[in-house]
Amino acid sequence: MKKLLAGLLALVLVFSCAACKASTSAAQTSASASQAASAPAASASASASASASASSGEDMTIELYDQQYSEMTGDETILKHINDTYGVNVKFIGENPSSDELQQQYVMSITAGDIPDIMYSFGDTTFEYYNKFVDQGVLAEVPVADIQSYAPNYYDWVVKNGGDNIWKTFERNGKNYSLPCYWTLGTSMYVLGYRSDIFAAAGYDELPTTLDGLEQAMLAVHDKTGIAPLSAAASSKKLDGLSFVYGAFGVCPTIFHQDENGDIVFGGITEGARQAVEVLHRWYEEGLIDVEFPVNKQENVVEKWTNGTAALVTDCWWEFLPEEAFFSASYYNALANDPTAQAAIKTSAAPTGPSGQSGFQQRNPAYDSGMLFGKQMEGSEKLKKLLQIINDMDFTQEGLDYCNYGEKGVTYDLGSDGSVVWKEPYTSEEERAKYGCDGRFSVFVDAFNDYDLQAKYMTAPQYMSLRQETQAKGTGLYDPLVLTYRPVYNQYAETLDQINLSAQIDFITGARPLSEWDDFVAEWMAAGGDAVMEEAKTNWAAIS
Amino acid sequence: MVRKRRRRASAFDIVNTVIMLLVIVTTLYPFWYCLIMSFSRWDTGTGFRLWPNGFTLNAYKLLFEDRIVWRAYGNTVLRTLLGTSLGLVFTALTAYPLSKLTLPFNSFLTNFVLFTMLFSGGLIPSYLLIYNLRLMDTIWALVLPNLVGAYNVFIMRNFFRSIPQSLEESAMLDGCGWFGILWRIVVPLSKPVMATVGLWLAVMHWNSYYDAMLYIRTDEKTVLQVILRRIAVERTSTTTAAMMANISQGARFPSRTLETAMIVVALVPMLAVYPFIQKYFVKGIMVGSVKG
Repeated sequence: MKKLLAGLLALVLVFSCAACKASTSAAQTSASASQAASAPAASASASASASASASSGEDMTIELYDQQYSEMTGDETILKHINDTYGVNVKFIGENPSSDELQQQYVMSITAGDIPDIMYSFGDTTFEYYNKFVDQGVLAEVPVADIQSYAPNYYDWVVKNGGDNIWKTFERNGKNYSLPCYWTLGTSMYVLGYRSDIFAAAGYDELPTTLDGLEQAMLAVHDKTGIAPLSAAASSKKLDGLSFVYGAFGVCPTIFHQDENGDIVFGGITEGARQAVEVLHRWYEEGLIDVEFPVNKQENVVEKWTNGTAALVTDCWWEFLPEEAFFSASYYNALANDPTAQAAIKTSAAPTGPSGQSGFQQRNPAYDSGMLFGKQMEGSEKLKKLLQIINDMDFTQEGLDYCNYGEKGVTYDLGSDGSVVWKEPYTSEEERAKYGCDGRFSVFVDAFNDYDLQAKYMTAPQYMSLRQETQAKGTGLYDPLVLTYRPVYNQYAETLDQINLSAQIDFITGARPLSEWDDFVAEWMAAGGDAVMEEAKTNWAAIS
Repeated sequence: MVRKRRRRASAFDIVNTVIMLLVIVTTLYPFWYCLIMSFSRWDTGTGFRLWPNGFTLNAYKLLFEDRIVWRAYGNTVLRTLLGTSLGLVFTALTAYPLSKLTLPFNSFLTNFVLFTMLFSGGLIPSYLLIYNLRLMDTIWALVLPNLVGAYNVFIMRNFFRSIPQSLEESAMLDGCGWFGILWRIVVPLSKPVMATVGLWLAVMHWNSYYDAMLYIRTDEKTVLQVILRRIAVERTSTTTAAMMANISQGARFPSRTLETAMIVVALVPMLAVYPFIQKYFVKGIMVGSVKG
């Protein structure tokens, strides 16, 4: 009996090894096809929508991420309507993973031969993966003509934000492989925020608009209260918090940008940066800058703002407004326990320098290689449908109204003042949740955000003009080379950034004398900066 | 009546005590800090604290209102229970034959197992293996690869060798087979090593996030540590691309209270279980080195 049992176990082991080998071979030769074929069988709703597109015989399952995933059930009326209308089977599978997570998942999937249908933006800021994937034949071509045909509003939005030549940036061998993702807030996100209660106590009801005037105001605050009014967080490695001083001299401290002649420069090594550092060092010596700025994180700055040991900071404009004006509102909410101080929060544009220049170090709105698609999606009906859904649901007011409010006359009506009035039974949150018009689909494919179209859903009416006024104060330059292929920059970036950041901080704090500025520039150039500058000039000439 | 002479504290005792107290405070304070921050108000800043800043359960309420947190908790518990129980079974099944010096090719098999401790195929072959076995997006991708660890096998093997042969011989004389000897004689006598290896497996499964990040694609099946990483690490990331990707997709940056609440939620089960198996763990810590 024991021998029989041992024999049976041995046979089970042998057969399972043989079966694994057989299934392994099958999987290797037809990995993506088998996965596509298994999807319709995996769920009843998938088979229903597969029958809707029976003429193409194509699996129309589209897996998307959404920030509101935890609230979704998959049975919402809005989702079903979109699936029926477009003949697809959109399934939300989770919250948006981070760039790191996505990058690792995509690289491993592709290595295993399982090319994802849709690849969300995964922080490929240097186009390193984009170029590799194109060379390896992993990506589906997304012809610009198709984008213009199936997603005309999206096409116009890309061109409006990126310029007419934007498609050249993504073209490889004359073909486009990307749906660019723009974060249009990036070009105007930073503004100055200040506690006008602290400045008013020192005799300044409004922040001066010139750099010299600002210095006088900060001196008055310092004399009155003993605090260092200006705080920043250099731990972000970008020196954004002090960039307005550099902006007063027409430069940005840690990025490439255009100079006044239209040439490309690295701001941190320019004469303008030297002049800015001279000012900042003087401010540091005068006790106007938080001595902990080299190690501060954003939360440290918020804490100092809260307890009144910082009165002037640089951050995103929405952080200084009530949450109903946009979102987040870190600095505004930090003073929730002091309504007087909260009401005294004001914002300001960057002060002007000796030559009338001003601005912050902002962000290029196109921050990476965009949304990409696996080779199996090339020319597919599914890709065309997805383009249509993106266009109709993310880039038309009607689509956004539907995703946010539902169907007019069914779930809501408009009041005399234009506000949304819910109809029965959708006055109940539960019913709105079942329909899906409780904000869970606020942006259906939330990789694309036209903030102008979304304004009415994100900003309460009473704050609309405040939002627009505050946002308009966010001026400055950004790195235009973000979307160019920069292998030399990739190679030296970490070292050069470290040299630049350390030097800027050392010059500001006095750890290094300003007489060594030229030595710092020479050091930066010798560490690879000259090669990086050459590449930058070549890339700039190609895109400008 | 003999009076006990009170030993005077030497300078060494005092210095030693002070140093040990400092070590204890340094070790325990981060846990305490997480606990008090998790019960603090939303706008609580950073800095040294001993007590919560305005006691509130808001962070825990927000966490447990999130369906995905509950689901991830359940997945993690399931993974830990499955991984630990199956891991102990298969490790014992591997270690017991190797503990028999009379096993044919014992030396070769021992070196075979040892080799895997020193060298591994790497990430890509592991991923290809899981993918080709059709284990992607299943709990088995998290459990099966960790069933038998070479280190645990050797620990158990050495402990099994310390069990007197006479017990097994007498069981054999009574007609017990090898499986019977293992499950009825050896395993009941191996509580220390079972508790030790079981705790190591449980902690490993509870804390693992990287394999879940690679092999699990849907949030319904993900584990608690991935959610913890998203809240505590990635959403406070200072890398521009990560921040912008998150902000552009409407992410809200949670305050430190939410991060610490998430950390406490992830820590509590391990802290709760440990006292019950501590006695076995203390005995078992040297099990691998005891012979005969």
